[in-house]
Amino acid sequence: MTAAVVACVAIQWATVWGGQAAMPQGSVKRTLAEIEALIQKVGTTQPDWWDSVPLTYPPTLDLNWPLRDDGPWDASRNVGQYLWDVINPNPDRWKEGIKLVNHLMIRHKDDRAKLARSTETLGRMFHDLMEDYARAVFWWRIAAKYGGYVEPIDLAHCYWRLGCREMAVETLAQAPSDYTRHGALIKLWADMGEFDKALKLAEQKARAGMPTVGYLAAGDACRLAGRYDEALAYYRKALAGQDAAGREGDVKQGKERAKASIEGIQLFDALDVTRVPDGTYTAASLAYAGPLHVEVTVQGGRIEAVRVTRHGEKQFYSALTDTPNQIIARQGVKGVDAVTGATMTSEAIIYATAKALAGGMSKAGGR
Amino acid sequence: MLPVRRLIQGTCLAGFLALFFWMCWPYGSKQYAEAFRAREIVDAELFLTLDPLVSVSTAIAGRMFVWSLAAGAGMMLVGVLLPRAFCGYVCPLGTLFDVFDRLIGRRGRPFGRWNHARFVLLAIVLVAAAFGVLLSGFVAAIPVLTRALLFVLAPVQTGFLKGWYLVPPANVGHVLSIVLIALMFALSLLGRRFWCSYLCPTGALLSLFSLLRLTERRLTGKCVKCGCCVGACSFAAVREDFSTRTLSCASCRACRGACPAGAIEFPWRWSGAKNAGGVDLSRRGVLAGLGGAAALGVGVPLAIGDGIEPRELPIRPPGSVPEDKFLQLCVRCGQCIKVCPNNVLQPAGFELGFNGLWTPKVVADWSGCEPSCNNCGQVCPTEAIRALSLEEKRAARIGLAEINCGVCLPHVGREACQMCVDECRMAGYNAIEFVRVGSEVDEKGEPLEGSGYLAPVVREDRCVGCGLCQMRCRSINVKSRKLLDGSAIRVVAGPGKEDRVVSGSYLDLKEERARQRQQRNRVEEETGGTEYLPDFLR
Repeated sequence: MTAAVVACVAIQWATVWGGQAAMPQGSVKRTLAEIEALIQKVGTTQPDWWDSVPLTYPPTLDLNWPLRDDGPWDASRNVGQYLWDVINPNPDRWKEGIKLVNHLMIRHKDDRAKLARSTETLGRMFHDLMEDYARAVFWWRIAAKYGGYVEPIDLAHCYWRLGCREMAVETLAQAPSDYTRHGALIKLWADMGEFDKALKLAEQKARAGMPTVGYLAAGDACRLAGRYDEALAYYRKALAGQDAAGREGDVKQGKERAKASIEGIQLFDALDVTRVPDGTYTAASLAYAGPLHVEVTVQGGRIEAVRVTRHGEKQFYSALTDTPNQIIARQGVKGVDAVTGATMTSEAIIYATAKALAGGMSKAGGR
Repeated sequence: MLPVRRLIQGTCLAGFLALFFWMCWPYGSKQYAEAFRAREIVDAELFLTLDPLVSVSTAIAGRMFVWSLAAGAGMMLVGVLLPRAFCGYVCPLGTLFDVFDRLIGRRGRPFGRWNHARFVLLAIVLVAAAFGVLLSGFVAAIPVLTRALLFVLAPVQTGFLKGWYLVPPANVGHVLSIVLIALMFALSLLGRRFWCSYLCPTGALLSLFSLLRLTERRLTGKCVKCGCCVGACSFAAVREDFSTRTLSCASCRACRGACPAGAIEFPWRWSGAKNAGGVDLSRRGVLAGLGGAAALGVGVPLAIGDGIEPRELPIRPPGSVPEDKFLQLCVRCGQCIKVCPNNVLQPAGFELGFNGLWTPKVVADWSGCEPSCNNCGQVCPTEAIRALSLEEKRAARIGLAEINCGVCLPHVGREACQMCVDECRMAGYNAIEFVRVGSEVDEKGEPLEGSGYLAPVVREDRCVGCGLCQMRCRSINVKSRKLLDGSAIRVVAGPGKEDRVVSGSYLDLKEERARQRQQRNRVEEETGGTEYLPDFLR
């Protein structure tokens, strides 16, 4: 089991609980020299919580953490499986998880392969769980020194988030096409404002046998840029795409998301809160863990309240309050930013609100 | 002249009812402890502490000092100055008897020596207490009345003000308690304040202090033998010859008001002529009474001591002393149950055995213990439930939540569900976390993202057993969605799962447990500990 295992789910789960080192995208700009100094300084300093978090783990855990484990799945014995089953799902165990991996790194310092894996895992955890990009780069660079594999897209993401676009672009030269499961490369280019580049990569991914994921990412890029017509077109392509590659579950989930996005966007333009009669309206849309229900209260042509009434989301509590607040502040759904790391949850709230308001308008029209 | 006694009686009754229905009504704010503190201008349990039998019997049974002894002693001191003033002026049960007697138009009618039956009852209670069994809940005036209000009127209050669906179902204990108070009132058909005059052991205890009285009722030569005083007396304290049965007199002075000749006075005990006649006690009566009392007082504890073993270990309110002590100190008044928001605390029937009757237990299927509430300990008159600060209360374990992995929806792979986790997080305990179950792996043995379910796990180091998780699982998965037969997460009490101590801090206990855990998990130091950046990487 490798460090990559730790990643996946956590990618979807970041921000809300762990992150303190993260800077909002684009708010700080740094030069290459500044970034290098930052990585060196932060990377060599222990996090402020380090001494207050004790090292704990189940006594049944096999601290040898063999590189290959052919036994049955057992999270109480296998370290990688323990990280996956127990540490990752619980934000208040993330720090103790990092301390455990750090401990194992020191324990196996004479085993080059294990050292590479530990440091790689540390970088992964700082990146995915803590959103601590300086330390993530720091540990990944050590991992690379010992022969570990470090994903250039992840490194580029760190540089971008730390405020150095040039370093990100330069690093992405190693990633000419999007080979990721969820279109992470396309998304990163779109986030960096390289709209055309993102679309080109998306088309490429679609041609390479993953149209659903590719076009979905393209649609998201257009929507973020406010180009709703193009977004709609891409989402439709995502729906129609026949995938030759990729996992079955990913394709299914991608198509559901595309459908939800189409429904949401189609409502955006026609929406006019002032034409919604007073009342409380409910609707649901697809989020990460199933349908999310909202209850929208309109009074005197104003959105008075947006409440998430039912959801299955695990961690994104800030999205559950932040997104409704944005909707109320803007008196609409257009231009509401998705909460980083909780895109699907935020989107679901936006779309469900749009649906609820549209329901209210059609009620008025029917009179 | 002002009806001073009636005014005092009315004030005391109104005060008692206000304490019970207004002060001990826990709703209005979600910050239960804070709101209660703001309302509690006097102790909510004031009348319970004034009933001297409550504190005396629990102190004997529990073999410890309970602070309400002080209040009880105060009442007894008043009784030295004004014999049985508690009965004549304060006792709300007595006042209700007076009202009832007035309604049914009953006159005083002496039953002679019967009025010593109450001493026998008192002896039974005290002997049983000496053997560690508390019976005062059955017979002491204020607990009986408090519990009767709890069972008869509190549900009505909840029903009208909050909704009838929030009224928990009754059990056999309710019925028994209501029958008991109904009987007491029915006895008034035999004579005014029959219970007080002949049976009440609280009154009997106060009568003992009348032996030290400084004032007393006395008949002067002006008496015209009309008998008005006999009819006026509610306590059977006037003999056929109109002299005073001093241990029965409650200083109410109704006789003086009724006397047409002005022949009744209440002078200092040692002034003027001595009262005619002493105490009506025959040696045989005393011996028989005390003998019988002792036999019963010993017999009852023996009988119930080896009685039914409880089928389940009850979950007691936070801050409850160890179970044996709890049963000795809990006077079964039900005040904690009244002040508990959402009826988490409910009175036991016979499921805990005879000795557990009417004791409060947490019914987590009904509701969970609110983290912002510490009311139960604040109103307990006998320290069976210790008065805890909110901080201490949140650290005091009343049980441990256990998940039935054989039925829990995500554990068995039926569907995603995290209601217990959410509930626990909202309560601030964060004692339920996730574990990923049923992960699928790909060809390389790597787990597939999004496969399997996130299922709940209880962290023993954090769970206090509040039961909010159980209530939530039950109300949604069992009652509303009918997916399960019973809550998949249940709070269980028992050794190691609850903190039951007579003194000391629950926060300290928690710290101590954490320290021990830390020690068990201590990692060997030869690896260089857990230095963030070891030298070999610098």
